[in-house]
Amino acid sequence: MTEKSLQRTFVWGTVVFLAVLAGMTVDSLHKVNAGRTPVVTDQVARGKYVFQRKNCNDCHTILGIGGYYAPELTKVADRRDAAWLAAFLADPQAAKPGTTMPNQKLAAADVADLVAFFDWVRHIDTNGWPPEPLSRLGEVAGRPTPPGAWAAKGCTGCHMVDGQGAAGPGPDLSHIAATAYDGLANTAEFLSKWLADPAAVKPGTTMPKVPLTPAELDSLVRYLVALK
Amino acid sequence: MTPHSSVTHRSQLVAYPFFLSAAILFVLQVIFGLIIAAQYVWPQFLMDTLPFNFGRASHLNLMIFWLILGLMGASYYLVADETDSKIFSVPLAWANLVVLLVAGVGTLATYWFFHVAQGKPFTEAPMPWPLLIALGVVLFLVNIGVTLYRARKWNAITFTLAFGMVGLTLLYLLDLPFFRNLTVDYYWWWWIIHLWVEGTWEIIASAIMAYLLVKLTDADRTRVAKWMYAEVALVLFTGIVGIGHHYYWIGTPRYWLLWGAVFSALEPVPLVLMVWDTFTHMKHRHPEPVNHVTWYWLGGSAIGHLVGAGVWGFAMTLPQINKWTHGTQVTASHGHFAFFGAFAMLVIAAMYYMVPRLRGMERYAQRRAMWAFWLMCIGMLAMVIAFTVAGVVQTYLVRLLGMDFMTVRTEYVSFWIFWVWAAGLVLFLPGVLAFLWDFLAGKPAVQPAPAAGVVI
Repeated sequence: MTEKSLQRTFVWGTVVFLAVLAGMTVDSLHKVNAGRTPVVTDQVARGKYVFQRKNCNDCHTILGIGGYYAPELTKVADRRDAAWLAAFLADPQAAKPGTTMPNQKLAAADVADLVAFFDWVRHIDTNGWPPEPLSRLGEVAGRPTPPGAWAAKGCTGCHMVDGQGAAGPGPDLSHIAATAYDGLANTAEFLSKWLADPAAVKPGTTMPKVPLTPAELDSLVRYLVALK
Repeated sequence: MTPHSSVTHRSQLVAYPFFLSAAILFVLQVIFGLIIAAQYVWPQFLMDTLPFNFGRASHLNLMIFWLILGLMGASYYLVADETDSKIFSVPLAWANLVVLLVAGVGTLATYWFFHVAQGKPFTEAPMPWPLLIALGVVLFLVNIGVTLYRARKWNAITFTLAFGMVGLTLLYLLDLPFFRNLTVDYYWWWWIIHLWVEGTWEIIASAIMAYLLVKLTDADRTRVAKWMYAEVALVLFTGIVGIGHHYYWIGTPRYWLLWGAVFSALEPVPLVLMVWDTFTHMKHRHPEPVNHVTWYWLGGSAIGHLVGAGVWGFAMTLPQINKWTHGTQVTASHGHFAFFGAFAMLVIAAMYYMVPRLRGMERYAQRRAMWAFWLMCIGMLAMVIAFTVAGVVQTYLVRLLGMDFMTVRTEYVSFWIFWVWAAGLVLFLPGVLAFLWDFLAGKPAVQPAPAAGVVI
């Protein structure tokens, strides 16, 4: 081939492939807006704006894109409930003592917008990403199943049970019902009091007071006393 | 700069401040990389003054800035030479540089002192800086465009270079609007990132590589041009739809899994050609004088390009694998290897050819330059290996076993990022400093040149 014909192949080939991409783009964006992503409300758009302005994406990944310094956020609203997310975003240290997440000094409205944004993101059809882990270390036969509040209220962010959850700052709770802490037996009665207001039981504790409904508190206590 | 510079046209000298800025920003980029790597190991380090997210934004943006300034410097140099005419306007070239530097400094200051960004990785610069960046690039295009138009001497190299530069600019415009839908936003964002690094930047790099091959060898110009066209054509034919490997999991339709896999599996093909092309033409190099260092960087770039972009990219591009590795340090290993191999090494090759000439000598003495080459290459290889291990460990523990992200990061990943940091501090940074030192104070090679026929 001559130089000229190669140049022509390069230019026209590029045009052809760009046309293919353009066609696929029209179709993709149509499908994205017609159901693969939920409708974007003004609040969700404002939340996205806050997410960008605070540069959250350079520590956290979302849809797998971004920094690998802090947890993936695509499904964060599946793991934690809105109340916990709001508390954490408003004051990370209060919700999770020892966290390296900086306080972003968000206004209450910004917090609400961000929570709405995360709730929107979790409904994106991501073709099954992130995948469910192949095996879960903690799924040992005969062990109790954690209630919804366990992850939703952020317990897994500080505590580990059977290898699942964070290795601190809170203690490993795999055998909490069979172990005593500070000389106190972890009975159902004691755990109810503890969860309702940790600082009232042990002043100066780093365990935060997590807002819980009576039903949530009950489910957590029943779970913890089964961990022997 | 000296009045005795061995350049064809005085206006080529304007390439020097571009290269100088690029070299300094390169050092800064590495320093920010070291800071954020240290934050993996010691999370409290500079946590309040320079939180990780703004350190990372600085690291990424400095890379883009220095590479683009380097590509622009090389363009000014080669366009004047290839068209055998002066640059349309030297003051305009200075304006082009100053506008970009002001935008760059403004962007970094906004990160450091206000902790504000526009928030998408690589393109974090908040308004009004993107407008100023776009202006700087447009000034560059006008200057180069008018130079080429006036000279009426289009050839394969200048045509390809201009093609890439126009594409790069048009794609950047997608950074300006605010998209309400995150999926739509990332859809277009990948047009900037992917179609830059696996599209327009590749085109520009191929043109510069072809220019250096023509200058440093007796290879037939038409032959070099034909190879270049074959490469850039294959880069775009595979790379344009190959963007699909970024559309697997972001909310875009399922058919991208197939399209992305097929086209990106072909993306290494032009990179193999590039290695073949470079090493074939190296056989035809001028026997005297031999510019070893430029050869090292040029040949190294071809290999780094193939391994970093081709092999490391291919390793994680198929959806069956990417499903697990997406969003882990595996991506960071590929990112470091590919950017260094494909672009940083090429820009440095261009600098080692052009800067001595801009400073009035044929070529530099080789000793310090060789230290710079080996320290940077071995340092980068060590960092890439550590990142790769970190990524594989992270993928296994977080994705396959379902362990908590932060536990894995603090207990396992940070150990390997420590080695990234150590290699960066002990090997890579000294290499970059040796390069900067050479840049500023390189001495001419002592005559006579090394004996003919020495194979590097």
